[in-house]
Amino acid sequence: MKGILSAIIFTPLIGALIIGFIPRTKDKAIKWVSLLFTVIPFVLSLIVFFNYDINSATKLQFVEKLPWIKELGMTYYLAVDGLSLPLVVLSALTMLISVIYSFVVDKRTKEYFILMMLMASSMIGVFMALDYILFYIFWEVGLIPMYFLIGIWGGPRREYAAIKFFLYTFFGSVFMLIAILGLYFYAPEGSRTFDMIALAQNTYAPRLQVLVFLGIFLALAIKLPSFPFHTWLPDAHVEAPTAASVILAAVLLKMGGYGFARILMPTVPDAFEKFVPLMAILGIISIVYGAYLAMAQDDLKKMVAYSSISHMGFVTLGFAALNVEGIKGATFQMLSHGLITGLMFILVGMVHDRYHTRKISELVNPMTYAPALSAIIIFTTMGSLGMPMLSGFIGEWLSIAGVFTGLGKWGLLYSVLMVLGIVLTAGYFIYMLARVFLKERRTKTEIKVSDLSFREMAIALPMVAMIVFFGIYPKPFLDLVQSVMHTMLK
Amino acid sequence: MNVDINFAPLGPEIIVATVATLLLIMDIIFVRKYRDVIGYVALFGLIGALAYALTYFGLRGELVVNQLAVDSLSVYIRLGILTVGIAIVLAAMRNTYTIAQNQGEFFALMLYSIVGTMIMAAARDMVTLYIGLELSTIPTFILVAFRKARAKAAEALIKFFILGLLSSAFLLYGLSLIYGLTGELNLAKIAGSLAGGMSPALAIASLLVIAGFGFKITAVPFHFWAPDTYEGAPVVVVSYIASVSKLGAYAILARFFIEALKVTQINWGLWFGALAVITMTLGNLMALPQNNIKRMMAYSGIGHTGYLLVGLAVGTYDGIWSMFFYLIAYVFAAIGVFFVISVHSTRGESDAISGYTGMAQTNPALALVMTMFFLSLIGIPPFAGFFGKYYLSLAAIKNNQVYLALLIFINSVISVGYYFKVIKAMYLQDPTAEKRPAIWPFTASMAMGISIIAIFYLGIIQKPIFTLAQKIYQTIKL
Repeated sequence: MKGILSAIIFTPLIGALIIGFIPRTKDKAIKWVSLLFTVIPFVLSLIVFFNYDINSATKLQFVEKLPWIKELGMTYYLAVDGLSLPLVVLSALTMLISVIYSFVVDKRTKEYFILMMLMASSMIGVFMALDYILFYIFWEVGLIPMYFLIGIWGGPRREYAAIKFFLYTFFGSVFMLIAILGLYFYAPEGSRTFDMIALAQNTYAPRLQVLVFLGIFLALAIKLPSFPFHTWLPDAHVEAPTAASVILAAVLLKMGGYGFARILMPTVPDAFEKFVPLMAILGIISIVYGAYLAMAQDDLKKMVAYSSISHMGFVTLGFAALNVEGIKGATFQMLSHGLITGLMFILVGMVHDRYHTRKISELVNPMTYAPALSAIIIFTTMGSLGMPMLSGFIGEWLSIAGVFTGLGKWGLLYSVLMVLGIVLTAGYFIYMLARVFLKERRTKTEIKVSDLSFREMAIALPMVAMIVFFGIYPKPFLDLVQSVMHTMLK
Repeated sequence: MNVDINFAPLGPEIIVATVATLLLIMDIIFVRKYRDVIGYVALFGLIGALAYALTYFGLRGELVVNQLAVDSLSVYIRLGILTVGIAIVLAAMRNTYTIAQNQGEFFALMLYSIVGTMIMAAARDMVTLYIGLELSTIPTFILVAFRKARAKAAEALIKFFILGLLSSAFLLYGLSLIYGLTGELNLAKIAGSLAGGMSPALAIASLLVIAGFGFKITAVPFHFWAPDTYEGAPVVVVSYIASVSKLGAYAILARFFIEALKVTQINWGLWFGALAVITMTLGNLMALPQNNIKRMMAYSGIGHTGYLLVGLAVGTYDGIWSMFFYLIAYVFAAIGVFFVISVHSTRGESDAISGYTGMAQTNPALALVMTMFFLSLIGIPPFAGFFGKYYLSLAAIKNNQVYLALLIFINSVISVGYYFKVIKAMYLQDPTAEKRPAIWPFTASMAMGISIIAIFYLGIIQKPIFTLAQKIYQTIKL
């Protein structure tokens, strides 16, 4: 099993290289090669997942540690644990789904799939890297393919959305780098390294902790995204092509949450505690404000984008609670949101492919000609608003439970507001369903569209199955998080 | 007087100078049909010199040949100059647009200038320094106006020439003041003589020296020649000025200020820090509104000078080696961009950024290569530029000059604005009218290939360039 993590990261890169040699006219070849080089990492990630020993004393498994630049403490250090493992599998799965969906792309396919492959490598690398500089490299590298994916294959305002995404995220990353340097320099003498795990063992001076927290929090708050750093998301999501939106929502946003758990909580716990009130406020505003904004949208994709902001607010609050339920809720919400909203964006894409509009007011009831699609849309909507028995409920419920007990005297207030957020979420989603499926149209124009193709079925059904499965039996995942709880709660 | 001077360590300089003279002779002898050979002779001359210079790679300590020191600094810079020189000669070889039939003169001038720069980097003595500087600069005056029919070339030449001469004069005055104060020409002995001392004359002398060198490295406020010269001169000449001249100038700046003047009471950290901040900010901000890609690159070069000066502002071991590391990373990315510009300009467009629209679809390989160079210049990993800026920030933070690190990063974010203008045009926009296909000789590909390998290698593997750079500080600090 040695080197399997590196294999997962580098397989898409090799795929990109091979695609580089395929002539740009051979669409089919390009697509099938991409599929192959996305299936392989996914299968490998499943192998890692099922071979992870949750009962072992060493939580970091499949470790690969090679010296890189010793003088400066940089190592090539990869590993997975209970926190990163599900995210790695989620990333690989999302890539697979996006590539399968992307078979509809016909413009500049060669560049499209090369960029997708690059995206895959960097995304997975972020979750596996345990050396700060390696982590930073993977984090930054992911910006480039996303810029091009949005900017070339996106909607009418794609150039604006692409550069906004890039600059916003790059700006935040820069402060994160300085914070990382702070961690490196002010480590106790003789232990200068960029090893994340090692640095987490150090205790830093309170003032330094605050500065480091702020620097890294800025980058993470932009990625999550949390109010008030969320304004890049609606533009990026709406203008991005479907597959890129899926990747953005399902994986990139999770990097923010991952940073909370991997970096902030273990390394600067005192500063984290100090900033809990701020995080809670930003989280609740994200939830409620995001929900209100979603309600006002006519564009289906923009509505889902705002719903993402709202859902990620639960992640922020769950982490802010700083207790077992809260953290379990936050991490589960990340996984569940990845599945549900990922599927949601795919469905929006499917609707757009059929009706060439995303405006709710213009959509014709798809139930007549595409009942399967309609069923899955309704199902996913239920998942997104937190229907029990589906995975969305678990994450929201656990976060609220955590906040209820964790935020002291404010716990009750925040919990009530979170529940209000859930009600609002139900509000705008049901409102959307009503407008699409139940409204009487004055003009009975029915547009004949095709129902789900085999390919689309292949994407949607497994996701549906997982959403149900994790909604009923979240234990495997929750156990994984529990196994690393001790690193986050000190 | 000792006549048993061992000239062996100066082999590379001698080889290049000899080849240059040979080229002039060939220029007279060879008829039109065989003139292309001249380019190849220049190329192989440089390769030979590089091979020779590589034998000194593992050098410990120094070999002094009278006034020239072959130590880690000069070995490092020499290797950089020769490699860059090879790349530039490769790019220029088939560039008949610029060179026409004057191959002999063109390459001879370039090679002489290379010799001058190598001497400059190795100088331990103020007179040798000045000789090297002049030998390095004067050929570039001629090279800048090589396409003399263009009006912009004349403007480029006038500005470059007059400002160049002026700064040379300043430098000479400063050097002579130092001689007057110390009675010494040798840099090491100057350090001994000035130790702990401070006087108005010394301050003025230092200012004059900074002015003199500031011209070469396009530091603010000595940068005014750069945009017009970059715009008017032929692209391969611009790539030369932007790379080799800077390599030599930084070498001598480091040597001069660390070796000779560090011991004085002047707070160099503050001076160079201020210079760095002004230079990087002005360079990056002024690049944003540019529509001509060569002018944009000129201002971007000014911005990068700002980043490099941070290394001098820090002045510690980390500051110096990170500065030299980034210098090499910057130089290869910058000449790479110029090589792409040179190939693209054969399509008949002006150098407007709008001329690059849709290049990703008409010439995808070229667009990709250009994007990689830009990403290195912005400082995106895994390219060399990221590591250079990162190491410089590391050095600054270590020396409690966090504001410098912060400014490097903020300016990098600003630089995204203008580099992405070109990337956006190339990738996000569809090509406009039909243009002539680019003339893309294989030699240009080899030149770009050298740059690409450099920015990847320095990013991912880094050693042994990294270790060589680290040795530099020891050799110049006494």
